[in-house]
Amino acid sequence: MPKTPETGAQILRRAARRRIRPLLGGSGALSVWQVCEALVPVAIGIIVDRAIIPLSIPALVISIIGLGLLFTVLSLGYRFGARLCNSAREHEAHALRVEITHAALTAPSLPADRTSGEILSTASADADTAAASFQQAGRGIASVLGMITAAVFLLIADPVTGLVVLIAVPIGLIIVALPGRSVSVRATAQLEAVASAGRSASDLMHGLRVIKAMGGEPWAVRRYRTTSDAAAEAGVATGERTGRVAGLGALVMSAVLAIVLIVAGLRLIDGQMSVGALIGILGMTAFLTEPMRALADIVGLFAQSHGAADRIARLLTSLDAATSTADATDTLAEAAPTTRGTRPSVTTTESGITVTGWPTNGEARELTTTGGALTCIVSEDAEDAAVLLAELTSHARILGPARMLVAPHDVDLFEGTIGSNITMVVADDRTEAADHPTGHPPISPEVLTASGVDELLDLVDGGLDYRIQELGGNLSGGQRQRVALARALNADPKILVLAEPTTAVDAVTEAKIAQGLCRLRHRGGDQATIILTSSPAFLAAADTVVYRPTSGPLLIGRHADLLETDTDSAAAYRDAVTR
Amino acid sequence: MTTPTNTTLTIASRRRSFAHLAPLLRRRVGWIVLLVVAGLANAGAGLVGPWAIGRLVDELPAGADTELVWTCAIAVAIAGIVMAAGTWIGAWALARIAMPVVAELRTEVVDSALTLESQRIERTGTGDLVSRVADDSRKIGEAAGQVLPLVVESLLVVVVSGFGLAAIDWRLGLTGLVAVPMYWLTLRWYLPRSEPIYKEERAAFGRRAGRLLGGLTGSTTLRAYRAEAGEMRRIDSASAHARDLSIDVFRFVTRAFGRNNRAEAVVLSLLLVAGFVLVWFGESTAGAVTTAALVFHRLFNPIGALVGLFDQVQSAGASLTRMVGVIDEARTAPRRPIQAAPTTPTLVLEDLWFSYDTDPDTDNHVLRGVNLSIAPGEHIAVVGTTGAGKTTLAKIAAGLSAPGHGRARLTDGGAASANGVNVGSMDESALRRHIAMVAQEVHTFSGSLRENITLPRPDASNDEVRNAVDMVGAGWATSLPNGLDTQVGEGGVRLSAVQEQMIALARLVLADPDFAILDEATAEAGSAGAHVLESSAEAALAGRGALIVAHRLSQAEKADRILVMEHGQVIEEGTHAELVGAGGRYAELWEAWSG
Repeated sequence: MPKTPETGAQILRRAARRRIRPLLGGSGALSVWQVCEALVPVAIGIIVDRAIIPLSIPALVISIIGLGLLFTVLSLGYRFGARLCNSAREHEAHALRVEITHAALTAPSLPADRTSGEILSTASADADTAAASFQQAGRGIASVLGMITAAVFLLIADPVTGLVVLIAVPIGLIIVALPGRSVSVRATAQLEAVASAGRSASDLMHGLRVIKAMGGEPWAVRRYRTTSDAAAEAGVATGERTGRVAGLGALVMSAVLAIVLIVAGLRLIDGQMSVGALIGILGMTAFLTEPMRALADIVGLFAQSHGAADRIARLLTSLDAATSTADATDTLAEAAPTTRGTRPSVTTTESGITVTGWPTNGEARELTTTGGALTCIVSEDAEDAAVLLAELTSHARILGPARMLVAPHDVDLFEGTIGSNITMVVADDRTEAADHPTGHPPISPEVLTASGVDELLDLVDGGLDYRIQELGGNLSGGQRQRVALARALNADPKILVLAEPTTAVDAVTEAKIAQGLCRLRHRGGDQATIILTSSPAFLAAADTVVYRPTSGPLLIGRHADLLETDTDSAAAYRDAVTR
Repeated sequence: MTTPTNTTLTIASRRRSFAHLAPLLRRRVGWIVLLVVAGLANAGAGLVGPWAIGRLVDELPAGADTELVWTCAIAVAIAGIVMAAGTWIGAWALARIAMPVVAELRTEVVDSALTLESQRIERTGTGDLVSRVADDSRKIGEAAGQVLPLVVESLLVVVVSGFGLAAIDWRLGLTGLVAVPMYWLTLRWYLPRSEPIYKEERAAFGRRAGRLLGGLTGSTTLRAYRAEAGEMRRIDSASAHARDLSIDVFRFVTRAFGRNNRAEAVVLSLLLVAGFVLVWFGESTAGAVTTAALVFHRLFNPIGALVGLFDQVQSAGASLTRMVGVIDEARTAPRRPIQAAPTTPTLVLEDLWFSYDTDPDTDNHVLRGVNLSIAPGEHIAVVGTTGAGKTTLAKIAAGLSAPGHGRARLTDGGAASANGVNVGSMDESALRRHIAMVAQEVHTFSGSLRENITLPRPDASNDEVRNAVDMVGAGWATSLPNGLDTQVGEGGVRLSAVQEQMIALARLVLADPDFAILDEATAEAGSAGAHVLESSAEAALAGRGALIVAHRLSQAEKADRILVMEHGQVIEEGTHAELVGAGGRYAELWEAWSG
């Protein structure tokens, strides 16, 4: 495996190395374009000087042909240069995106300090921004070459005037650039204010039903007016500042033009310069500001690309670290499967699964669930349940979903259909484009019944082919949980662990699910099932219930027996499960 | 519950949209005059440079002295001052016009969206509304800040330069007009092609973002099922597709630029040839031709900007029509009469039928003739499976949905009295004094905790807010680092499901309606949280009538009366003890529930 780049600079260098050809070709072609742009005013000067003033028809014909050629080269130079740079950019952005998502998805878990939203923004915005360095490189090289051409022309056409231009234009640009910074700060503030008004509107619309149900309309309008007016105020301030700086720019460049005009005019009177050179030099003076300004912008943009590349590098490094630590821990756990410190220990055999050392901070007992049995675990303290679940999850990761599956409590739905979400097998893009995507393996009716998905299928168009919107937004919480449950049951693992699988499902359906699930998992007689839940429906169906009170020993028994028992712990149990 | 959308919000016509802007602009007519004057001065002053060069070309070889050079230089410098002032004042005036107009427009849209009747919103869903109110106003705001100044300036420069060309020599001006059809043809070629490919590109971006988001947020599940490879392939293919489209779009755009270059070359050549002919016949001078050529050269960028920004202007226009559509919809809705409800009303629901189908003869009813009367202070719980019609019943009772048949009324208590007020036709702000609802959708608004709680009564005093918070047992709120001023919602402190529900209940306490409709989801709260929320709800409901959609049977147990619903009908009704004793459906549920 190639080494992960550690810094933003490394990312950018690697990018340049692997796309050196389009980069060189692109900046070469863009340079041709920029040079041609610089030559347009020169060409006007030459045509006036050589064709129009002497009224020479042959010179005019040559001029027009020349002008046509100049524009053709100019146009093609831009077209192919920009295309090459853009394609290098797009390819690199894609490559970075793929690299980031692969690293994120193959890492054992996302690093604790990274949210998925953060990774998403790195994989989308930062990848784009970092790859934009190709365009900046292309434009930057072209600008430099364009300026050099202009400088060479100026010095050849008239060394004195040329020198004046080459000194006056940069000074003028610096004068303009100085207040430019405060404008860009303000412009950022304004964009932020507009974005904040947008967020506020979106926030209110997402809570629209809440507002309507409570009569909060006046409240909402008042809130929005405040943010919207603030955005407008910021906009006026930015507009005025931008205008002031642009005005200053016009003033400075006019002053430069006036100075150059005096020098050139006087030199023309002295007979040291041709009319054509005068037109060319004055036209070029106006032109020169363009590549110079572009270059100044590019420096700022490149800093942004570099920052984005840095963020990518940091993310990749942290994902890398997460992967290698997890690998190391897994090997360790395999080598010494005994209880270590604060982690419970999980062992699996052909006949079932045994947990020892849980709870970690109380009187631990060995918990075994054999094939064909259903164990429910009720934990008063969510922390204890989380510790157990984490251990089971990391154990399942080694065994693989066919042998052991820990279905996460948080339901994740993926783009596709209900069917593809249950089987976790998706058709590729070609077939997916069709309205009714084919190609998820069949799902047994028992799974659909046991998970309560059967009732859901009656409510939606297309049944299993019902398309799931982004993140399952078109299903309710209970419906989502049922799909996730069907997914877990459909995977049909030897050992299945579920965490609070029906919290969003109504009581009636929950009771039905508990019965169906029990029947399905008992069917083969060799499958073990563990459910972390406090729902009486599951507890009643369980072969064994394990209750972990906040203090005191574990309570193990059947639900009905535990309810009958007359101890403090049992009273706490009753309180926890009768809801 | 999936609610089919059988109607969509209207889109205003272009003419209507601009007509809507007219009064807003008319109020700023002074600024508009200033903008035009400053813009014209700026564009006119820009012509001085080429003019000066033209004069030097004509007169210096003919033996003019240094005085001319100085005159021209001073003219250029003065023009610079005019341009500076024109640019500055123009940009300022434009911002003073555009920004407040846009702000007024977007506030009006939000206001309109909020005054749309709940029943209307239920029919259309909130998706389109969110996109119009949030996305379209953002687009308009950005366009006003970034696109508009460039477009206005470019337009003025092009128009003034056109007149400038004509002023140099009307025949050169005429030649310059060749540019118009050439650029127009570019636009004709560009616009119809650009829209679909940009749309396709945006869709590809959306799909890529959706898959990235799905894959990254679902990484735990993918790992558990060892399904990472398949999802990565999907992400890769979506990203590659977006990449290829972007490359195509860019190729297309560079072709459009190529057409611009062609127009530039043709018009510049024609100007020079025409100039040559004019000079040949002694009708014009080389200097004038130079000026004309340089004036046109100066137009390359503004014209490029106009052509390049055209589709952004179009898309801003489309956003405008969508926004004005919402405003019109709210304005044309008939005003509901303000009717007075009885002082201590009874909420009576009579023979309610409801269907999401628009077909009047449908058999697909969510509610089938439900009757219910809630006396002041009475608590009624509704129990039933998903799809039994509980939520629909709650929405109708709260006046958020209109029944297909039957009515919900606030009466003065007499069962048969006909003098009640129909909740479905009451003015909504008046209705909310009598009936408020805590729905399944929980939303914490971005802002302080206090702002979130005072939603129904923005003028509530500090004591009232604290009282509401205490009443629902949300003591945690005051122990947050900044107490009630803690920022919550997006970007703020994250609240747990229980805390969010408590805020909703605190709102209810502040709203202090006669009837509360509770359809809250205690699901994610877990077992301990649900216990807490139940006592919060009990406190919030004290002293008012309530219809409680019971997601947990313990909520039903405490109610004065319980309705058991199935397939849109009430199949059992009575107190907890009665129903358990009767041994019917409820007793069965209770048995399964309590173990």
